Amino acid sequence: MAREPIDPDGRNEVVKPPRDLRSKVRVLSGREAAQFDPVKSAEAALERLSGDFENWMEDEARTLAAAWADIQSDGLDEDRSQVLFRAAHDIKGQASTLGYPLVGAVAGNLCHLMEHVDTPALPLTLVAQHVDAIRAMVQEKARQEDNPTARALVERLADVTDDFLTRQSDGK
Amino acid sequence: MPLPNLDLSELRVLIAEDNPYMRQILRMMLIGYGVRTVFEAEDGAEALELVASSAPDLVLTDWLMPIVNGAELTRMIRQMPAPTCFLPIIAITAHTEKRRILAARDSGITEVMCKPVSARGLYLRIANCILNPRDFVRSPSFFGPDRRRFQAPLHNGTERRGTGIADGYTLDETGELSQSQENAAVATGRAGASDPSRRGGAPVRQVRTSGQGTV
Repeated sequence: MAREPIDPDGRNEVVKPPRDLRSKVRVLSGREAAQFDPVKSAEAALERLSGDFENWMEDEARTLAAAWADIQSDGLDEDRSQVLFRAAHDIKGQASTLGYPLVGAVAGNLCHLMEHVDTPALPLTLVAQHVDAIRAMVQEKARQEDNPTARALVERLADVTDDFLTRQSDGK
Repeated sequence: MPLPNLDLSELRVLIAEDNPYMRQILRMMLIGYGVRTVFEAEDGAEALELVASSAPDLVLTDWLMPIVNGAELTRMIRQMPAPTCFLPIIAITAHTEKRRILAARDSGITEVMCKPVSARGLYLRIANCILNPRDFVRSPSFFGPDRRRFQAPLHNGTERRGTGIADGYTLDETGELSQSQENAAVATGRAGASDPSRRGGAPVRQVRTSGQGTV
């Protein structure tokens, strides 16, 4: 593999990788490309999968609710907080793909709150409101981004969270 | 710019993702692109074993995983003997805060994709890894893909790494998150406060890199 020092004393160097994936991949000819579009093909594959998305979203919401139930019954500690965070983080990452963008927004807000507040200082009522909101939105199949009730909920939770974080950073 | 349609049938791809649904989504996308050989790992530790035993050409890794997370997996791969240490690694993460993206870059990933994943966004990154491979940089404290895709020997400007100067992050396609928004969030100590996805706006995703000072 080719090496090229990039500073006078030779402590840093640029290395050319020995393998080039272009040798394993071919750019399709115009005729072939007209018959096969990888992106459209992947989108079609996802569409075929989408019949399962509602069940998957319900399952993710159940996982979040179960993590919250554990905190309610056994108390909040670092481990249980992490389990709740991971469940919210999964929903944040997947909800849009599964067709529930506003649920993803609530989960994102919950992650934002948990990332900026130490576990013992977490406002549990506000956390519970996020969990309840996600559960309700999934139960009511609030998939549309213009769903007025869901949108109001998202905005309100984001406002309350921002207020809390502002007060906390101001030391109030 | 139109994407080239590639024959990816010979490509061997490893998915490291603890969530079974996201794993299935990624697998279906890869199969849709025409990839025939897909390996799956439920965590970073299993992924490391598969890297050693199955010789994948490309790794897609979630960032938040149990046991060995995406950052640790990346660092471990970069410490393996050549040619494995040069594996292209695409980090797929639900984190949208700039400090997280910078941390991912500094652990040695090749590309980053913020969830939600889209078929186009993921294809773009895979195609980038193949058609525009990065050179690697070895220094006493780092081994990984060069943030600059192309060398500019005549460049006489300021060294940006670690100086706090804007890194020139841009987003592809919809441009959901601007550099100035992110800088504002970081500058005010409210990283993520500008994240529109928190309010159900356009989701932050598909952080793309361009020019100098990129992931």
